[in-house]
This record gives sequence, structure tokens and C-alpha cells, in this order.
Amino acid sequence: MTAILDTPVVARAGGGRKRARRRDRGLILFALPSLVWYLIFTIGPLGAMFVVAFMDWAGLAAPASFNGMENVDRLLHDDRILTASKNTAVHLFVSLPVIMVGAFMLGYFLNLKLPGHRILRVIMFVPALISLSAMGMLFVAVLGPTGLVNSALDQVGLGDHATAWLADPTWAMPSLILVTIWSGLGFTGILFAARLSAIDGEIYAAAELDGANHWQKMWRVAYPICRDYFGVLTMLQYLWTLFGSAGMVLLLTRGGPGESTSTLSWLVYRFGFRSPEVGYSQTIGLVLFVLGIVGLVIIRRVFRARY
Amino acid sequence: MIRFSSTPLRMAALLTTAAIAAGALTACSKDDASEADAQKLTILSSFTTGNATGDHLNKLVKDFTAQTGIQVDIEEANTNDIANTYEASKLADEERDLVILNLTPDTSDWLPQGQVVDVKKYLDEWGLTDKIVPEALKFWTQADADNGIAGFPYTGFNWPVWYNMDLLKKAGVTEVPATVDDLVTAATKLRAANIPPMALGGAEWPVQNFITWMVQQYVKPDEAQTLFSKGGFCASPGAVQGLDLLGKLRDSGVFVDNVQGYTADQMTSAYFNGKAAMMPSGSWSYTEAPPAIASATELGGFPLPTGGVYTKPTAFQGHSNGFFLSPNGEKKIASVEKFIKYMYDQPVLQGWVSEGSQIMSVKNDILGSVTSTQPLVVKGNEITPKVDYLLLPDSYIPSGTDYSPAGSEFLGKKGQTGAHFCKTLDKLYQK
Repeated sequence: MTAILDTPVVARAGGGRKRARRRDRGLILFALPSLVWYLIFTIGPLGAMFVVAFMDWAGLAAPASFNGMENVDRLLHDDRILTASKNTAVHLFVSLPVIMVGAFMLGYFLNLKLPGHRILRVIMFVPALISLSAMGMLFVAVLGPTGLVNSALDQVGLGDHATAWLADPTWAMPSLILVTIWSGLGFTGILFAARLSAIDGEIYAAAELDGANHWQKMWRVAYPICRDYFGVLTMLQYLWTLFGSAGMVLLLTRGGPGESTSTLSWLVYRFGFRSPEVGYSQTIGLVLFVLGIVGLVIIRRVFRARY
Repeated sequence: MIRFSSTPLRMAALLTTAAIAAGALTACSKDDASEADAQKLTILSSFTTGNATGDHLNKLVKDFTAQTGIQVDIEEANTNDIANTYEASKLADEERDLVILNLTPDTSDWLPQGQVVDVKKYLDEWGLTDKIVPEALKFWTQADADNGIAGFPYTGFNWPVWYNMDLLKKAGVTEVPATVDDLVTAATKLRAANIPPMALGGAEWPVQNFITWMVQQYVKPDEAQTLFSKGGFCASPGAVQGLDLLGKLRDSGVFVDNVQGYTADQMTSAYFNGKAAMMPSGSWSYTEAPPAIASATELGGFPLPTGGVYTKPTAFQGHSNGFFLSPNGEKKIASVEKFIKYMYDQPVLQGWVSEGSQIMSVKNDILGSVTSTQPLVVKGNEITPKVDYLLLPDSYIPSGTDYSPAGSEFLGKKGQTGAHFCKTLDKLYQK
């Protein structure tokens, strides 16, 4: 007699789904602390900026109250904002192209792995290792009235051209741009070199067979391949320069002489910590936020990969 | 026995147990912590180790602890950052008990905002009001805080012009310039001898002070107080005249070349290295001067301009450094009382003069007879009969109003007049 099972054993439907749900819950549990941290310390302050921007708030310990659109109205009629916007535009539109184009070319050059390329990588990375305050001290000394640049000019008989570079209305912003380029060029070049090293050498070999020189290989072969990556680094550098100029301005020029190096980022710091008018500072912060988003969208569209 | 068969339940149990244990331990230790806190004072100090003031304070604190058993923990901070450091800690109610700092535009909001305690009653109760010079108490009394006193005034300063007589004599100038015309003549002779005349920190706070120095040549203290509090330079003929005087000094070559780019440190360094014959600077630098420069230096006021409101060369003096008491510090008032009374004891006050080379904000009979070993400190104490003291602008210029960028631009623009510069200054007061 054969025992017949009345109820065949069938693999329960949804057993795999139940395991997947348990696994997902575990993942969520582990990710929860980071999510909470992100919400509180990244999204929270961002949301707070939108609230504080419409407040009359003299200082961190002072009482605060909503004042509607007063801060916005003030911003629209404040000459300092217009001056800072112009300075920000000059700072960005001069330093950004120079850094990105220069860094890409440096990255390509490093990738050729010519003799000494390792030492060059180290030299190029050095600015990234210097803290902002050390960099400030360095350039105050280099560009000061009795600093390295003026001493060198004096030595070669061009002492008449010596000036207080950081306090001269004509040269203060170019000096700031120079420091920005100095601090960003090498590091971005290293990043480009890393990306370019992933390009198959055969592609370059094929281009050489077609008679391409280095310039053509750089811009007609390497650039289209890592166009998307170029866009990502441009976005990063754009944000660093737009939001980070306050530190450099604080250390080098404090917005002067006059308002020749006052940028929007500097005004956020100035009204937030020096005046202090925290509400107005965040209203300016809103402008920076919008400029940041708009810039990111434009850069993304311009540099998206076209396959 | 409870069995946790699933991982999430085990995790939850573990976390709950840990939370309960931590809470119990905290509760147990709370009473002990309060008692221990009272035996410990925390100080946020602008006096830093490596400088005469910081080193001397560290020595005194050890002595105080040995005498009273009260531990003192000092956190040092850069003068530029210390106000922000305190305010951030105050937001978290973690502020230090005492702050050693100057009463300046950066800290003048503290008492009105309740970030520090009004110490008037403590000065009276502890018998300190009669020890402190009236000018110091007046400086620390804030009208916008119901005439409360923002802190315990402790050290003062004077701020004259330093004249390197060796360099001046080398250029054929045998005496300290008495008038602005003498100063311009001296500058011409110095330049002819390839000696840079007057260094000034044109890119930083010294230029702000120098602007107020020049403005006050033609403006009396009452009007100066209003100007510094609310602006209105263009509406004041005296103020415009003072700004014109600054322009005249610039255009006559009295300042070193590219003065608009000098930081305060570069100004001091230029003078200390013999790269400038004159410098307006304060007593905080007396102990840092190289011995040769200190012995060659004569201290005096800024020379008199024609038509000015003062009859003697002018200088500044102030009593702006002291101890702020925080709300946390007020909770340990018994320990704070011991510390503050210790600091106002005569031997301690005298030690600040003889070893710390400070100018104290106490009356001479309280201080007693004491001299510093530092030649410039001694010379600084001797200038009082020779100068008229100006109104110190620090407690009047609103927080965040910075003349330095505008001053730097003005110093770099030859030919620009006071009538133009006053507009830039007035704009700084716009909201």
C-alpha cells in the first residue's frame, strides 16, 4: 500500500518576499541613525534658513520676530547686495573656467606619465593639504606691502609697480581670484587624472593613427568621454567658490578695500556674525541658495553626456 | 525566563537596558556633580599662554587653587573668535563661568541681551566699587542695560604714538613733532634719509581707531559720542575736517608706502624691525618690543593740528579689559567671589604691574607703590601729564560697524577728500 499524501507539500507562496521584507527592515534599521542625523543636521538647518530669512533677529541670543517681507524689501534696495552680486559674478566667471580648463589639461598631462609625474602629483596636491587659515596667512605674507611679490619686483627693478595687492581696489579682486585658482587647480587636476586613467589607451592609439595631436586627443577624444565627469567637477567647484568665498575674504581682505571684494557669501557671514543681523543674513543666504540651484541645473544640462 | 527569539527584539532589549542604565548612572552622579562644580571655576580667556598676560594668569590661578582648593580650568581663545565662542556656548547653556575679555562693540550687546550678569550689586557687596577708578566703572556701565555694569573692570591700556628717536635723529629730527606741520616736515626728512615714516595697520582695526583719532582733533567728546554711535559724519564740519586731516597725512607722505595694505601685525613688525620711525600703538605691545627699540622709543601724543579742540598732543587710554560673569558663573557665586576678591588683592594687583606689565583699573592708593621692569610700561605711565586723552570709541560704535575696509580704501586713494569719505562712513551706519 502506498501512502498517498492528501495534502501535497507545496512551497509556500511569498516565502521569498517575507525574507526580503525582513532583510529590508534590517537595512532600514541600520540606515535609520544616518537618516535621522541627515534630517536633523542637513535638512533641518536648510529648512530653518527659509524661516529665519523672514525674521527680525539681531543676534543669536537676541529675541526674534517675524517681519514679513521687510528683509526681502531691504535686500532689493540695498546697494551692497548689488555690489556683492557683481563681485560674486566676476569671481565665479573668471576663476571657474580657468580652474576647470586648466585642471583638465593638467590631468591629461599627468596621465601621459612623463618622467617626474609622481612628484608633480604631490606638488599639485599640496594646496589641498593646507588649511584655509594657513592659506590666508601665507597669502597675506606673499601679497602684503613688504611681501614676497613686492620684494621680487624690487629685486628686478620693478619696485615702482609694487602695491598693496590685497588693499588696492584694482588688484584686490584679481588677487582673490588668483588665490582661488591656486587652491583649486591642482586638486581638480588630480581628480581629472584619476578619471582619465580609466580611458583605454587603444582609443588614443587609434586617434594617433588618424593623425591626432595631443590637443586634439585631449579635446576630441578624452573630453567627450568624460564630459559627464567634467560636469560633476564643475558643479562642485561652482558650489565651493559660490558658498566658500567668505572664508577667503575674511582672511585676506574682509570685503575691502571699500567693497571691492565683498561677495554674497561674505555678506552672509558679515551680517550673521559681525553686524549681527541673523535674519537679513539668511535672506542673503536664500539668494545664494537660488543661485546655487540655478547654477547646478545649467551646468548639468550643459555637460550632460551625449551618447 | 523571557526568550528573545528574533534579532529586532534582541536589539530593542539591549538598547532599552543601556538607556535605563545610563539614566540611573546619571541620576546617581547628579548630586555629586553639583557639589564638584561649585569647587571648580571655568574661565574663557583672551590672555594666552606664551604672552605675559597668559603666563601670569596661569601662575595666579595655581596660587589661587593652592590657597582655596577651588580648581580653575582656563580655556584660551583668540581675541577675534572669543565672542563667538562664548555666544555659541551660551546658546547651549554651557557657557564658562567667567570671561576675560574687552568690552567692545562685539561684546557690548551681552549685558542688554542677558548673556552676562549685571555685576553692580556684587561690586558693592564685595567692596570693589571703591577700589576701581571711576572712569573704568563709567566705561563698563551700560545705559542700554538700565545702567547695569557689564563686568568687573580689571586692566587698562594707553594708546600713544611711538617715536623711534634713533631713526628720527638719523634723519635730522631732534625732537618729537609737536604739531602736524612738524610731523609732515619730519616725514619729508625721514623719506629723504630712506627711512619709512609712520606705520599704520591700514587694512585692519588700527585704521578704524586712527580715523576716530583724527575726527576727534576737531570734535569734542559729546559730539564724538553721537558720531560714533549713530554716524552723521558729513553733517559735522569738525568730523569732515578730521577726515581731511587724515587725507592730508596720506598725501604728504607721512605714512609708509602702501600703508593701506598693512595688517596690525605688519605695522608692529615694521616698527620693531626699524622699518618705520613712528607708530600709533598701545600698551599691549610694550612687552613685545625688542630691547633696542624699547630704549630708543619715546612715547607721546599725536601732534596738534591747527585749529584743533585740544591743547596738548592726544592719545587714548581705556579700561576695557575685565571679567564678565556668566549666568552659569552666578550659580557658583561663592567661588566666583573668592576668585574675584583674590584678583583685587593688593599683592595680586601689584604682580600684574611688576610681572605682567599691565596697567590696572584700580586707584593708586589701592595699587600701592609698584613699578614695572619694562621700560616702555614705565614710559607709558609717564605720558599722562603730557597728553589730552580722547574719547574711546569702542563702547559707542555699534556692533558690526567696521570702518576698516573703507579706511583702507581711503588711505589708498590719493587726493580723496574728507567730504567724499564721510559719505562712505555714514553709509556704514545704514541699516
